[in-house]
Order: sequence, then C-alpha cells, then structure tokens
Amino acid sequence: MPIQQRRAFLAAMAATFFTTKGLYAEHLLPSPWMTEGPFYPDKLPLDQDNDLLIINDNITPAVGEVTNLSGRVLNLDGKPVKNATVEIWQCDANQVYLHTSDSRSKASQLDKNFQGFGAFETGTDGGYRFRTIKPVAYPGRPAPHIHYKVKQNGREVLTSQLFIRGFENNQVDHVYLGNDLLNRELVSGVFEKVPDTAVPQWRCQFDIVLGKTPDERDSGQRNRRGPGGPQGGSVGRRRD
Amino acid sequence: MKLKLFALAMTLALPALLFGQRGGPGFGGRGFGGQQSVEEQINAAVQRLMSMDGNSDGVLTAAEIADPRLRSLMDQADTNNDDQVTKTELTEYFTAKAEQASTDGRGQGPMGMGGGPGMGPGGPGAPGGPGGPGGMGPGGRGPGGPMGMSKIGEILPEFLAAELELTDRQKKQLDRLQAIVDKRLKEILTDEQWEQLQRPQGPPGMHGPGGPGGPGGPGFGGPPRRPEDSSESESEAESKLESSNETDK
Repeated sequence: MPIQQRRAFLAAMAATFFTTKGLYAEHLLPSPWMTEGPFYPDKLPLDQDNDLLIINDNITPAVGEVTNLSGRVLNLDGKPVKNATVEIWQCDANQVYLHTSDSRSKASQLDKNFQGFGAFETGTDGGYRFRTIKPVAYPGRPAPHIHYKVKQNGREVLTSQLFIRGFENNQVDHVYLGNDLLNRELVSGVFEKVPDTAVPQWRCQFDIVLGKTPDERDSGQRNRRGPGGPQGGSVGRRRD
Repeated sequence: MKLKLFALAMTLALPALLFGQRGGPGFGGRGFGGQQSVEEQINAAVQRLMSMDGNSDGVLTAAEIADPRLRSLMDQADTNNDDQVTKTELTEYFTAKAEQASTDGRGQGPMGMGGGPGMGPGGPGAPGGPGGPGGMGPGGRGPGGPMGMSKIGEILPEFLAAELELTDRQKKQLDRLQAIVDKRLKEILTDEQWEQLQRPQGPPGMHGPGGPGGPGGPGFGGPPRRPEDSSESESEAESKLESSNETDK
C-alpha cells in the first residue's frame, strides 16, 4: 500500500475507532468541585516541579511513602485537555501544610524536605504526573487527601480533592461525605501498591474531568484568589 | 429496606427530638432530616448512572460506562459477575455505601472537640459547615449519647457542667471563656451564618449545618472516643477555615 494511502487508511481507522468509542464517551461525569481548604500555600515554593519528594537539588527526600500520581485531564467528551495546569498540595507526612498558618506553630514537626506543592502542565495527551507521598490524615480530616486545582490560562477551572479509594476513615470525613454518593466515587482514586519494592510504594491513576464551563460552582467566590497562576518558579518542569 | 432506613433515621433523630435542642451538625447535612433522605440520595445516584444506559435496556455494560473512574464501582456493584450492572445491583451498592457512611460516622466526630472533662479551653467549637451537596453529616456524635446534644460553640454543655460540679469560680471562668468563644465564632461567621446558627434546628426538614460535627465528644455512659489525632487547635483550624470556605461558595 502506498504510504499516502496507508496514512489515509490509518487516519480513517483512528477516526472510526474514536467515534465508536465516543458513542458513550460524552457521558463522562465532571469531577466535582470541593473546598479548597485553608491551606493552599500562602507562599508558593520556588521549586514547583512535579516531584514533591525532592526540593531543588537536595539529596534528602521527603518522609513518607512514595506515590506516583498520574492521570489525564479530560473534558466531558473524554477528550484530553492540553495546556491545563494541574496543581497539587497536601500536608507532609507529619501533618504540616506548606502554609504559614499551619507551619508556624509546627515548625519542629515540619518535614523540610517535602515540597508540599507541585504543578504540571498537561501536554496534548492531557496527561499529568507527580511524584509525591501517599497522603496522610490531618487533624480534623480523618481521610487522607490530596488537594488539587486545574487552571487554564491562569484561570481556575476546578478545585477539588483526591481521596484513597476504600480508605476506612473516608466514611467519617466531613469533606468526603459532603459529596453525594456518586461523586464520592469520582473523588476516590485507587492507590495500588507497587509490587516488589523494599519500602511500600504506590501508584494512583486518577483522571480529572472538567465540566462544561468553569462556572459550575453555585455562585461567586470563584476568583477569590484571583486568576493569577503561581508566581515565578518553574511550572511543570519534569523530573522523571 | 425502607423500614430499615427509617429505623436508622429515627435512631439518629431521636436524641435530637428528645432534647429539642439544636440538632448536632452531624445529623445536619441533608442526609438525615435534611432536604434529601438517604433513600433519595441512593435513588439520585442510581438514576444518574442509569442515564448512561445508552440502549435503555435497563442494564449498564462496560461499554456504556466509559468513565474509568467508575470501574471500581462497576466491579463491586456487579455482584453476580455477569459483566453488567442492573439498577438493583446499583441500588444495593449505594445502599451499602450509604449505610457504611452513617454507621462509621457514628460517635466519631472528626471535627469534635473531644468533649468531656479534660478538654482544653479550645476556642470555638467547629461550626457546622453549610452542608455539602447531599452529604450525610458524618455524625458529630453518637446517637447513643443524647446527652451530648448541645449548642453549637458551647464549650461545656450545661448538663456536663452540672455533672462536673464546678465551683463558682470555675463557673465564672467558664462563662468568660464562653463569651470569648461566642465573640470569636461570631467574628468568623457572617451575620447570616450566625443567625442561622441561632435558629433552632430540629432534625427534620431543616437546612442543618452539614458535614462537620460540632462540639463533639461522647455522651455519658460510653468510653470517651476522642477524635483521632486530636490536636484541637489544628483540627479547629482546618475545620473552621474549611467550613467558612464552604460557606463562602
């Protein structure tokens, strides 16, 4: 088959495949908005790459169980969303957030080697990837969770949280339970133990689905923080 | 099924009914005595999923559920392992989940202040959030502890204070502390929220402040179960802020 024809054929195949798959694909459910919580970093770290375990070129990694968190940012049709910035933040293994109102009183407790916040800009496949610690519970929040935001052109299009699927204490966490039954499914990611590692390591594949408009929230407050993205620093610098 | 849920709801609602005080925010939410009953929540979830039944044959197949995030649900709900899920299976699945949430939530108020003697003067009790969408409050306290129903933000409920046989001096100190707590709680909340808290909140039909349990802690007659990893100020910090955050939206 001449190469031109072959290409056309492959393209047609791909198109067919896509439309077939797309039959029900428009039924993706939007990831629900959830509270941002009080501890979105008040001072974003200089190092904002997607490896939260190592700050800059330090040698000592963060305390905690290594977790490879990845997934795709999709729209309701299941199509990848590119150039979306996914930001995550979570408390360190000692339950301290990268936020002065939390860390001030817990200076001795703070894990200085945990980046606490990271960002990643999706490529054409909509994929994002982070290396972080397995989330832990926080006083008052019995369900371990990772906060995240998705921004497009510096504008917040989603703020939510990721929970460990099946984690018992999810059932007593008021923020988790604030979701309806179906949304609880959508905010829970499967944390799979990576086999054959000396110390426990985890991976979590978690897709994020953006709603039709960024205006799904009931009212106002969308821009409470203002549209600005992270100031300075390198967003999404890969450290694979 | 209906009966069971009703019984469950009653068990939870009873203490509040008996004592006529503000329902603990744990029951608040729209779960029990809120806008949406557990059954309605279950139905809503099932309906929403069944809307993906592209060929309307009453069963959902893997092809119809393209969403990878629903894979675990599909696997677990498919109890007869025929690779498809019926409305009945989904209802059973969500019923189990709803019950899990309500039973596990009992008696362990994550936002609770630990309650009872020995708790530090911890500042304002976590005000219940405005209630997440359709959430069932995780239960600030166990339904078994009817004595525990108390005013939001109240440091030592009256009955507890009585039980402790506080000295006059202590009572005065406590009053002062309560005044501070009230003042600060009022500062945190908007006027509207404050008013909402002042309104009597019977269990049924009220827009109870949702999720976070309020002044938590065990009632008498049971071993105290403190919120886990209870560092009060921190737990408050997050709950307070998160609650106010939620309210903001």
